[in-house]
Amino acid sequence: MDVQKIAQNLKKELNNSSDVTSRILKKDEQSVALIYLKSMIDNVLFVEGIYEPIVKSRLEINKQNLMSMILKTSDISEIELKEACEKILLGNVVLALDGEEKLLAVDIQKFPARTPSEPPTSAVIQGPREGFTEDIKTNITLIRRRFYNKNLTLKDVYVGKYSHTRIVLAYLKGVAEDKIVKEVEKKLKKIDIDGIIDSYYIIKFLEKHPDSLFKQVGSVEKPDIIAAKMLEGRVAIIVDGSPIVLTVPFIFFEEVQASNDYYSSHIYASFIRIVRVLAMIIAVIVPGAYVALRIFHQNVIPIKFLITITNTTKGLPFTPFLEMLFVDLLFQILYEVSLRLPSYLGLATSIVGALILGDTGVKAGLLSPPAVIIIAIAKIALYTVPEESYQLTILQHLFLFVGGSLGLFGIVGLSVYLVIYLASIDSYGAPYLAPYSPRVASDLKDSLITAPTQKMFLRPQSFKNKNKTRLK
Amino acid sequence: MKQTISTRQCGIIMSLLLFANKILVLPSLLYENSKADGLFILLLLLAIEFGILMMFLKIKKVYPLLSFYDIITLHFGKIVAKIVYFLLFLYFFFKIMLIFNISYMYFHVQVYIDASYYIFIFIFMLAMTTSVLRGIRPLARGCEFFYLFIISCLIFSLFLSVANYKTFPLFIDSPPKNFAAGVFKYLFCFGDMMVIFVIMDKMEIEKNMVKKMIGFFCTSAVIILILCFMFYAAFGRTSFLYKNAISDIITFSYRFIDLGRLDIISILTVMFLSVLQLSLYCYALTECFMKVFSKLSRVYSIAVFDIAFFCIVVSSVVNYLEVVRIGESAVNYLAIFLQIVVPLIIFFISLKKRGKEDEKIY
Repeated sequence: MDVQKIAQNLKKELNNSSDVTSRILKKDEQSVALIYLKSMIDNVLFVEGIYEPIVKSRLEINKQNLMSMILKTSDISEIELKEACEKILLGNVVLALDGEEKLLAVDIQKFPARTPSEPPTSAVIQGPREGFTEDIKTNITLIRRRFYNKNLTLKDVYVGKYSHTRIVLAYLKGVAEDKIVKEVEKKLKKIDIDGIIDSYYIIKFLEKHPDSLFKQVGSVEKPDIIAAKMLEGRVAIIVDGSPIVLTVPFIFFEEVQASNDYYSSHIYASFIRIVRVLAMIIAVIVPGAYVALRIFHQNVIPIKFLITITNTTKGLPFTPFLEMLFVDLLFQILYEVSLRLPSYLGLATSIVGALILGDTGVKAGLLSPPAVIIIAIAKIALYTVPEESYQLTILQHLFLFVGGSLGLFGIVGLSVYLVIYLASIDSYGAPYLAPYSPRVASDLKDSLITAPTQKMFLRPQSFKNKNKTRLK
Repeated sequence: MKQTISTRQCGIIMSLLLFANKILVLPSLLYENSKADGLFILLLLLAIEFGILMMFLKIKKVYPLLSFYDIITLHFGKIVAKIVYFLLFLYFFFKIMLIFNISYMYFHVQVYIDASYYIFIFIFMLAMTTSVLRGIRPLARGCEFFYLFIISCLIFSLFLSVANYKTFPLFIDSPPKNFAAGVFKYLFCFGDMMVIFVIMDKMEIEKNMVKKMIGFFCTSAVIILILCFMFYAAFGRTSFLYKNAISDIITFSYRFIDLGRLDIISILTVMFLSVLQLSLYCYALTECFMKVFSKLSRVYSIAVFDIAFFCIVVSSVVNYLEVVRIGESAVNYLAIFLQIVVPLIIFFISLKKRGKEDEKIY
């Protein structure tokens, strides 16, 4: 077919978009059509690696010479005409030659991408500071350079009718369970959606209980954590365009573990993990428990504290429950505003929120100091485990409501229900509350209390993995 | 897929159920009947319970895969099995009423002075229904999750009670007749082992099964005995006046007055215990119901239970004394039959039969 016609057809197939470019180069009697998206390629490489070599070449322009001698780029492949559009969209330059049925695709994809930097939610005092970026190639490189081993296996899946997003499954062959890899791959291939913009789009497709409040897929922003999880036998799911890499299987206790724990003394790590769990309990239960004590169980509060509460709440227009809701609402509004406002206004919002609203609210007789303090403690405690803050916020309100309407016994009842509910969830065969319920003795070495690395002989036993021994 | 539980979880279920009724009212009732010799009645009844556990372990070894219902059916036919399970259903229903009323009375006196009765009905029914519908595995895992917390709180409560120690309780204080009557009278407070008979086919056989089960049993039994001893040591001849043993041994201490009410620890422990115990009993009850009416699913079983429970609780029984009175009379005969006679018969049959062959025939 005539190269001009091929170029025209391809442009037409791509809806004559303004960034679709075609150039016809003629040398001797031979014509070469170059079709590409100018917004998706590396212009320097295009000129130096494709255009100039063709123009300046003294050799005959044919497929063989182009692939082996003329083109100065590394990633060249032979493709069918029907694949051309897809390749162009992925940032390839497609070359059509007179009289040749097959085309050549040269991958010189380039688009703006930021360099790996420390993610804001996973900062460490010691340890690697690299974080994933939105570029999947960079992310794969960041993982690859941690495993100079042939067993690191990557599998590509493309999802999204319009976005055609590249998703890569990364795992260590011989460590990760094949069944889990196959299950994840099957679930990804089954997704029939218009587009995948971020890794969070696919989380619900990977979960066994998508309606649940609790996440069942891990999300990580740092390559060192992903490497550690892959060494445990987990499967990583990298989505193009997202700096968040997903992992399965996932257990609740993973959220209590932080990368910093592994780069400091195991005694300190154990201490800090206990603090994190206590903070989670405080965040969820304290506002509800305070309201329950004030409404139902005043006789349980120590007498001196009761006198303080009575003095400070005298004349308040709200009931304890409404007062707590009011303070909570104020905090939520301030939180939302501070997230969306430009940073230079954030300071002003903090001053208005913390000083003016809090202090003046108390002085005006709208709020009591204990309520402000309780909410402040609970809200700060929420962010000791930032990844869980959304779930914990919902639980906090649930416990507040139950504490206000049913008292301490309601809180206990809800706690038991939640634990039984969580105990019924599993993620790719891993019980959600492992290693505590069911108790997995060997995994307790990396739980609330951590053992030094030289004593962790086994990989996690809470879920299946092929090779149980990690240290001999 | 059939849900299974580990030996550890089964042991924990048994251990938690052993506390039912025994850490609140029972020490006081025993003192009322037999003075400080109540401790020996407790010891004897716990020994009987231990005997039942040993029988259970033997039966489980002989019939590792069969349920209690299947074993009875195998030897006595379906009709006998259904009758036994119907009686077990009634027995568990009574147990639920007993735990509910004792817990209600306790919470009402301690922390819910002005609260409505319906709060308790609502919380208990919701907790029982939802946990039963999730199945035995999540329920067992839930028990496992809270076990360490509950045991630690109980031990801490006992530790605090040392401050209240006044006199060494006098033993051999009541006539033998009262002692014997006490053993019979308070049998209804025991028999918690029947729940593990009902779920025996769900229990996985593991290494050290016997050791693990005995370990969990002993932990609970020792805590109950120490509690009873400390209770009598703290209150002496006025023990019969105090109905909430685990709380009262901490509450009446001037040493901790500045710290506020430390009995909140025992209150919270009893709250967790009662919710878990009622859920476990309710699960066992629905198991029995489903065996008697084999065409009914668990959802229907729990619906029937909820309606019956609500109607009975609201219309008639609102007083724990009434339930205790029923327990001391009619239920005791049922308890002897179900707790002792039935396991004994199955135990002797198990001794004679070779389980594996029976299973093949079955």
